[in-house]
Amino acid sequence: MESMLSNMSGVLGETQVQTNGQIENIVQQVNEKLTSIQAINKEVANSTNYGGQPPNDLLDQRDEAIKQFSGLMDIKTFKQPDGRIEIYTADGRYPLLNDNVRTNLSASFTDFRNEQRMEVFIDVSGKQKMISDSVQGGQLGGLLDFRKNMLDKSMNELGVALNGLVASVNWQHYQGYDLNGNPGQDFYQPLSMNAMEKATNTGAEDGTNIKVSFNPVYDPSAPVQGTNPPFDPAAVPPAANAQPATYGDKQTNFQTAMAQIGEFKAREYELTFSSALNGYEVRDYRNGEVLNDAAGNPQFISLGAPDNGVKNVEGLQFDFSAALAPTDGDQFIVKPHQEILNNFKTIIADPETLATRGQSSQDTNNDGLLTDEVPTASAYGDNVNIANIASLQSKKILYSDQNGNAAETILGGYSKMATNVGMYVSGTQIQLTAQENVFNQVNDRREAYSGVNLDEEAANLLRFQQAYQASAQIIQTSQSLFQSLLGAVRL
Amino acid sequence: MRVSSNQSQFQSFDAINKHQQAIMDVQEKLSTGKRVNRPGDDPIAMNQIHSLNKSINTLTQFEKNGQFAKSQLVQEETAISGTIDGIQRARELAILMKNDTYGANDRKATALEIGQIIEQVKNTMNYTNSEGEKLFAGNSVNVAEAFVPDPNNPGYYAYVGSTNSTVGAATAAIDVQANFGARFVQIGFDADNQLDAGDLGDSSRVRITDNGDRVFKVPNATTQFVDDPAGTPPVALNPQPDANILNILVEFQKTLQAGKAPADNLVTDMDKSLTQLADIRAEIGGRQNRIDAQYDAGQTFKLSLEERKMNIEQMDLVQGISTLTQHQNALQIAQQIFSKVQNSSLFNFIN
Repeated sequence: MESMLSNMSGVLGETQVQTNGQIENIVQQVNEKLTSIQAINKEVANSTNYGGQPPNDLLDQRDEAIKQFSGLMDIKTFKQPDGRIEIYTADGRYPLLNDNVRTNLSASFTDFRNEQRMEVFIDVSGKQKMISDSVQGGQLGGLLDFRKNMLDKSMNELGVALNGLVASVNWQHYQGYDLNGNPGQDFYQPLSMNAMEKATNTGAEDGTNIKVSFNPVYDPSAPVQGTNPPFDPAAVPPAANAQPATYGDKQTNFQTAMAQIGEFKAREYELTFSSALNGYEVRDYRNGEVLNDAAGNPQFISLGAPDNGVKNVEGLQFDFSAALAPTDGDQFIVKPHQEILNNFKTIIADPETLATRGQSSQDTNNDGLLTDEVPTASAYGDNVNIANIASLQSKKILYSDQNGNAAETILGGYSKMATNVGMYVSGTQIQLTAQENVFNQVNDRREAYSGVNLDEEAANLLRFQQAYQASAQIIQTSQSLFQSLLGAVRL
Repeated sequence: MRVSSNQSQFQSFDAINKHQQAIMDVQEKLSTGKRVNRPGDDPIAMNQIHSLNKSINTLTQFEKNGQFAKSQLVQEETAISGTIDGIQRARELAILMKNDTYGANDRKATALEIGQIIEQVKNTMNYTNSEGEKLFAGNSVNVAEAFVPDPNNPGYYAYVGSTNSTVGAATAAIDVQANFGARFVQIGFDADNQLDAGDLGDSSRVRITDNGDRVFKVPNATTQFVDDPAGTPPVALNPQPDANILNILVEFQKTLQAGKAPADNLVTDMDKSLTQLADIRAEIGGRQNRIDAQYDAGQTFKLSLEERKMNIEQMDLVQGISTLTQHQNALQIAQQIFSKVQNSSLFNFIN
């Protein structure tokens, strides 16, 4: 499974790199086309200024260049009185060729350098502006749309399923005891990652001290005993990694963890520091929307009280407690669900450390309850915990609704991704058919205007041939008339 | 409207292209036999196929689990049947030895046979399966013996989970966990996908090990274990050994060795033990029947799931072949039309 996943995430990562390369290539082509259109524009303006016939050859050439250009990206053209053509992006916001001055596009990484994500930029009065969102059509638009709606989405959705798997298996594993009677340790490598900083940040923090992990029951204001698995069998209460006081507490923590897993969303996070509020605002990196908590209030992680720089947002713990001082407006991004694709690893190697045993069945105070017992390993042959780990596959744990009822199993999370990919593909196919029909219609109209019907031409040819023959006949007749007239008056 | 020559060429080519595409599509579906080859073919069906695959695979696993559980239970059943046979023989001998026609020597000789029965019963009570796990030690399948010599009362035996297994009545047993038997194998779908601690289990699972104390205990035993049956009067042991069938047999043997007729209590206790073991054996048989019933239900369920999956995923061959023929014909016609249309030009008539 590990190799399958690493293969899969490898393919996805490779696709990302390819997309970057393709964007770069297309942008280069766009610039070349712009240059040639600019040159033709200049010629056209010259010959129009000197009067005389319109330069038809040049106009044809330019039309062809624009046709090819619009195959790369969607544009709007405006014809000027002097015969020149101006080109804008399709939404009319950014000029590409204005007053015959070229504005070159460039492809470069976003301000979040480590993100390694190519975007399309335009130079607007000396400032690089990202216009990827303004490009909707052509090869470039298609590529950007594929990345946004297909690649990113699939990676994040697959990541949610994987994060759910890692967190739930790990937590169920913490619940049990291994062959030696020690509490279960990490089964998979738990999620633990840093943030990526924006290049324009001015503060000391570079993102590496901002930690994001799955740590559902940690209370930053008062570390409670046993909230911080994996448990150390030697730890003594009230150490945070000692086992909770009772089996009931342990179960409650587990339930909290499962509830937090249900909060996972297929999202990338943007964190913006606000010095006025002394804390970080949490936004969706893709659409820039401020995220709300369950009560409908904007998510905010305060560096002082009450959060002390540690807070769980959508099931993930954002920990700023070790972060250096940021300055106002500093931004960081976190992609936890893409991270897990690259760092999915099974840690457990020794079968001896597999926590198959559950809580002891012994009721020491004979009150009929096990929840008040001190967490103790069950007997050697017990298989309660491994049975529960196996049961996780059928348990709905992902994508909770407002009432905390999870909607999907882990496989369901994967299916959801596969379904979305399928939807995208079949949606694109439907769109393709629709666009083909439109294209045919437009092509028919263009052909009706400028196309040639050979039959028609042949008919015309015959017509002119006949007219020619008729004219020749007339000449012959008039000549013979003239001859007879001359003959009649010959002296 | 003018129809340009390009247009007719374009249209013909477009039609040929479309039909070729359709043929490719049907070809793939026919050669794989699947209607859905990738998510894009039918996204909704893909989701259903995933869940169906999961259910079918889970059911297959339950079948395997059931087979494993059954093999364990058969061993347990065999062990218990062996014990019952031994006790039957001991009971016959007990009734025989109650007759005063038998003298002390006869009884001493019989004690030797009882010794053999004790060995056999002790052996089955400490039965180990092919994986080296004790069948009758509850969860503590790794203990060396499920029934250990009683350190307080030499000659008797104590269950590892009983306080008699260690010296002194107040000290804890060797392994208290042996008093629980939470080894379960899942054979059906679990409503809440959760197995709780404690050895109660739940209806989706079947228990495969048992608590030896529960199986071999003589319920409401009346035999009193004494230091020396020949003593006048015999002194009751303190603490009393576990009231299991093995100790009853040991007591019986001791009585015979002392040349005494066995008391009525011993015979009734053996009767009680036989009833108890028969009950347990019936229960184990019940578990096996449950596995069989679950297997049958699983098969029926699986069949309907397979059928549903086939309807969603598999290609209808007849339909596929007729679609293929249809598209092939269409392609041929399109190709013929193309050459026809291309040939018909006025220019052909000019010369």
